This record gives sequence, C-alpha cells and structure tokens, in this order.
Amino acid sequence: MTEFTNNAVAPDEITAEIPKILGTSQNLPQAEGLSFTPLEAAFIRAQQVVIPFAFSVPFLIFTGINLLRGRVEILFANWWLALVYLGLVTIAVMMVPVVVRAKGYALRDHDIHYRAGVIWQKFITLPFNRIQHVEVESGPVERFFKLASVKIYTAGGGKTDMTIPGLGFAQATKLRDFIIAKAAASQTWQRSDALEQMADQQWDVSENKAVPPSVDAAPQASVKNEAEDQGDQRNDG
Amino acid sequence: MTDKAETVDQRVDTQVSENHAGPKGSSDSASVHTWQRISPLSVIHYIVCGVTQFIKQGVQNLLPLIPIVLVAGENRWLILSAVAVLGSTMMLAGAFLRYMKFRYRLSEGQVHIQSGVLKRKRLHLGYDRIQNVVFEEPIYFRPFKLVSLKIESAGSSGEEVSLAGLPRPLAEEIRHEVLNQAHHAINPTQASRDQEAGTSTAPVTEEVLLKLPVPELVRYGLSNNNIWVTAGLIAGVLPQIKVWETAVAETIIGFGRDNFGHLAFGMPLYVFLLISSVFLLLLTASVIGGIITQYNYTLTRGSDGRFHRIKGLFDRQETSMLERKIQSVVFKQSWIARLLNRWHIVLRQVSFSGQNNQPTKQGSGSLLIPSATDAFLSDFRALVYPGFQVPKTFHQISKRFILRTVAFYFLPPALLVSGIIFWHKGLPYALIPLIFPVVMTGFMALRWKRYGYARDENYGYLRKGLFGQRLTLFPFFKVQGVKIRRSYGQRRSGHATLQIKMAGNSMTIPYMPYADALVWRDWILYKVESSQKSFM
Repeated sequence: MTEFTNNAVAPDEITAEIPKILGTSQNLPQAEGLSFTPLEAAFIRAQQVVIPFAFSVPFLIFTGINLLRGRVEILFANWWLALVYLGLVTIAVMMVPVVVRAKGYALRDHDIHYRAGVIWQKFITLPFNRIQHVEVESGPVERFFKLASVKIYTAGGGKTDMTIPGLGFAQATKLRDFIIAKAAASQTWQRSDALEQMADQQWDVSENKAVPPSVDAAPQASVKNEAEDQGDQRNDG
Repeated sequence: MTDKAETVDQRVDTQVSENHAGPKGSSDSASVHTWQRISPLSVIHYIVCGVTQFIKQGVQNLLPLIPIVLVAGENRWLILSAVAVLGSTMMLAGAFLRYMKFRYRLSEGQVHIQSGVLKRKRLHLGYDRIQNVVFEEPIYFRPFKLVSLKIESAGSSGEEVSLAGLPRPLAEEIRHEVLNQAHHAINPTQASRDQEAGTSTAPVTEEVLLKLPVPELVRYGLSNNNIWVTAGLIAGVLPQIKVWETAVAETIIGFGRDNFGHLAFGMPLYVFLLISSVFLLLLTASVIGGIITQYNYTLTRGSDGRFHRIKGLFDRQETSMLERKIQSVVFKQSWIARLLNRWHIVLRQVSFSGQNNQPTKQGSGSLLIPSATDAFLSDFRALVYPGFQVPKTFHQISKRFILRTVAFYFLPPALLVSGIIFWHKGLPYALIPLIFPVVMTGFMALRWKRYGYARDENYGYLRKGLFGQRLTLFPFFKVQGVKIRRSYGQRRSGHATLQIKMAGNSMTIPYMPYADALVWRDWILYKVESSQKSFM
C-alpha cells in the first residue's frame, strides 16, 4: 500500500498553529488540490453500453400505450421518433467520457475523498475513524466489464455515504481492505474485545458488520452471515 | 452456532426462575443474568397493545363483517357475537402466549431477548449500542407498582427491547447495569478508576435542571408546530371524503346563510369566524395534548453524566439518556414561541434508519425539552457544551440564494401555468400566476436573512428559519462526513454549498463563500481525525 502515502500529515504537525476563529487555514491540512485517481477506462464503455437500453424505456412505454389503445404501431414507426431517440443516445454516449473523467477518488492518511460532476460538482470526504461499513458491489454489466463499486457507510442513515464506481476487481478489493484496515486502526475507543469480535465475524445483530478485516477477495464483501442466520431460524422453529 | 442455540434452549428450560413478579422484587443481583420471565401482569399490557393496534389499523379490519351482516339475515347478531367472542379469545390467548414465550437475561454486556409465538425472535443487544432507557408507567400498571422498561438502541426499530411489567427495583437494577457498563465499555480507564475508588456503587447525585408547571405546558401546547401539521392533515383529508356534499356541511352553510346572510360582508365574516374557531379548537387540542404528554415534566442530570426525564399524565415516562450520546442540540423557536419568548430544545442522538432497509423510527433518538426560557437555554448550552463561545453574530450566506431558489423552484411552474392561461384566456389573467414567485421572493429573502453560520474552535453553530428560527449546535468531532457542492454559477461567483453529515441527520449551509466552506471542511476533518473520542 505504498501508493497511498500521499499528503501525509502527522497530527502533532496540525496542532502547531490553529487558526482561532475563521482565520486563514494556512496550517490546517487542506483537502483542496488533492490529485484524484481516475476511474477505469472500461467504466466509460460499461456506461455507454447501457444507454441505448435505458433511453429506449420511454419509447417502449409510448409504444405500449399505443398498443393498449388499439393502435398497432411499432417503436420506430415514426421516423422523427427514431431520430429523437438516436439523437438523445448519441449525445448521451458522447457525454459519458466527460462525466466519467470528472469522477475520481483520493486518499489521505486520515480520510477518503470522492469527486464527481461536470456542471454540478460535488466533493465528499469521509474520515476513516467514522467509517462503519464497506461493501464491494458488482452488477451484471459491471461484472461483464470486470468492474466493481466500493460503497462506504458511516453511522446513521441507511443510505450509502460514498459510492466509488468503475474500479477493477482487484483494485476494489484492495481499496476495501485498505479502508477497513484504516477504519479499524483509527477507531481506538472500541473495546479490544469488540475488535476481536469484529475480526472473528461472530455477531448477529451487532451493527459492527462494519469493519471486519475480511479475507476473501470475492466481490460481495458484505459480512452478513447468511448461513448463520438460517441456522438460527431453523433452531427457533 | 447451531450448537450454541441448542444449549441456549436447554438453559431456558432448566433455569427459568420464578422470582419475577410481585412487589417483593428481586434484589438478588445475579438473577437478571439467567433467563427470566416478565410479570404475568404483562398480559394486560399485551392486551392493551393489541386493542390499540386494532383501533389504529382501523375499520378495514371490520370490512369482512359487512357481507356477513348483509347476508346472514336473522342470525346476524348471533354470528357477530360469535366473531367478537372468537376474536377476543384469540387476542387474550395471543397475549398470554406472548407472555409465556418471552424470556430475557443480561449477560456478557448484552441484553438477550427471546420472544414471539409463531415467529421466534432472538435478539442480542450490546450495551454499548444502547441510547435510552425508558420507564413507562401506564395507568394500569400503577396499582401493582410495575413499569415497562424500554431500551432504545442506536439501531433499527427491530432492535428495540420492551420488557413489560417489571417491578420497579428490578427495572432500576437493569437500567443501572445497562447504562453503567455501556459507559465503562467505552471508557475502560474510567471504569478502572471507578473500581479503584470503589465509586461504581456510590450513590449518584441528581441535580434538577427543569421542572415545568402547567402554565409552561400551555405555552408549549400553543407554540409547538403540531397544530399546523394537524391542520394540514385535516385540509388534506377533507376533499377525499367529499365533505362538501355531506349533510353536516349543508347545515353549517345553512346556519351561516340564515344568521349572517343579511349582513353586508356577512358570509366572508362567517367564513372568517369559522376558520378562526377551527384554529382555536386545534390550539385547545394542542394545549390539552401538551399537558397530557408533558405533565409534571422534570429534567434532572446525574453526576454520572446522564440526563433523566420524567413526564406524562396517564402514561408516565422516565427516560434516561447518556449525555455523551448527544450528537447535536437544536434550539427551536416557532413564531408563536417567539411571541411567548420560549424555546423548545431537542437533544439529537444517533438515529440509524436501518442498514437493512428498515424504516426510520419516528421521533425516537431525540429528547425534547419544551418551553425553555432564554436563561435556561444559555445555562443548558454551557452545561452540555462547556467552553462554547457564543458568537456575537452569524455569518450570512450570499443573496444569490434567494435568486437561485426562486429561479429554480418557483419561477418555472409559475411560467408554465401562466403560459397555459395565456393560451386560453389572454394577457391580464396570465399575469396572475406570476404573483407567486414575487411573493416567494419575499419569503426566500426572510429565509436568507435567517440563514447563518458561526463556529469556535470545537463547535459549529447554524441558524435557519422563516418566521421562527432553529439553531443547531454540534461539536465538530462528532461529524461523520463533509460534502461540498458547487454548481456552475456558484463556481463563477465563488460560492459553495456545504453539507455536514452527522449520525442521524445532516445540515446544509447553502451559498457560503467558497473560502469559508474550505476552512470549515478542513477544520471539521482535522477535529474529527485528531479526536480519539467516541462519537457515541
């Protein structure tokens, strides 16, 4: 993991000079100007492939309505409809590389950053010592292109706090393991036995399905132990 | 895992002790560590719960009976009473079985529950995930000196523990164990210090922070926002039941026509009186509701860093909450509360909306302090967040916020409606919808004026509101994540929208100067990452 040591800032270095109230942030480590790692180029193709299908949905609905009203018109019976469809698909396909290239992630010693957006830009930062749960996910299209997404959760709210799409399988797993290791190491207030528990993956309802140092490299890394649950239920019956 | 479950079941059979119920209680502290039953009187609790649930789920439960009534003819009353008897028997049997099948124990820093009649459920809830411990003392438990113990976790609603019908000393014992061990689990040094000094069993001194007499509860009833929500609900329901066609509506309109019709502006006056009386009615209901739910409100703080709240007229509730679980504090003041010079303070805790797509628990995870004065507010703020330097002023956001909001949300629909009207009716009428964005500009200007942000070294302080105001105070080290958003326009004008994600809620500062957003982000990250403290 030597490639992740960019912009190291020791905590004692930070405390050297603290801006009092809304002063300049000179001595504060700055997240601005980080160099972001771009997503895999294959992600562009993965997105582009989906577009013709995704865009056909409204046209298919239109055709369906026509059929229901007894007018047997197939999808592109109107030449202008076909033109509209083709135009939209072309524009979207051309936009994809621009959109994908705007996305990227960056790592520092204490946090992970994700950036996205061309017109509306967003920059998300999650500190490692607040990360609860990391998943690697790979849908059918993504799998075909050998891609996966890393999903990161913090406490509160079931929503994903950060999704980094378009990573290679190996890269995604590596990133997940790195985040998990960082999270486990930084959450020092956790009881030592709680950490052991995490390592053993032997808990049922505990929320800490979060940060287990997972070993297998399979894309599905959610640590919910299905077999265990079923075993429980059988016993209950 | 399979083996483990079997042994657990054996233990259930062999070790269920019968020392549960009865006011004599069980002072034997080891007892709660083996599998226990709750009091048989919890059957009452389950019956009451069943009945309330039946009523809440409403009339559709009774729909199958309608064909019976229509078809059965002479025998309908016989059949109906048979159904009623059967139904209540099933409810009674269900309540009894629920009591029979319920087991609990405390062990290894976890609360273990086994429950469920048809669908067995076992739950292990770690002490460190417990947020609140609530004693509920419903009116039917009071003669028996029993309480219901509710344990609210930082997890989903599926992880809520409810032990109905415990003798009070036992409930207190459980609360003590659960909350203290949670505390020690997090702060091992504190625990060892306690043990060395032998203070872990030392009496905890309680300091009364706030006691609310009835007049204060009236103020709360008048100024909470619930009546506006209720009014909105009623307004939403009225068209659905076609209230205008009912006899009631005709009577009301007829009454107005008879008594006010002959006056100049009689009908408008009548409508005005009607609406005002409806609001008066709602206000009265809100006041009565406020008194019932908040009666005898007492807030104390223990020397062990725990808040303790007692309230309620019929259903007396005692809530204990660890101070360090508070994520942020919100000071709310609706426009009526402004007139009354009172604040409603909400202590926000972690509220997971469930990692497994479970719905968010409503209203849980927060503790309300109603009807607080300015003086109490500043004392309380100093108590919970010591060292916080109250800012003299808030920094304002850019005026572009007004422009953006109106142009994005209010202008397009107005233009659309205006266009449609222009098509059909022509110019003068088409201008009417355009009044809407103009009015909204005024409102947005008010909102812009209220938006404000301030911070000191350790705390962030945000203000927002329209007629009322809402101040949110939070320690930086409890933040979960930071997001900066910038539109094309914001980049040109040098602004950004900062979103601060806390455990349970997130806060947004729109259109703050980009430089400020950067400093806030870097500062928050520094505070979170250099902190060794747990956020919960």
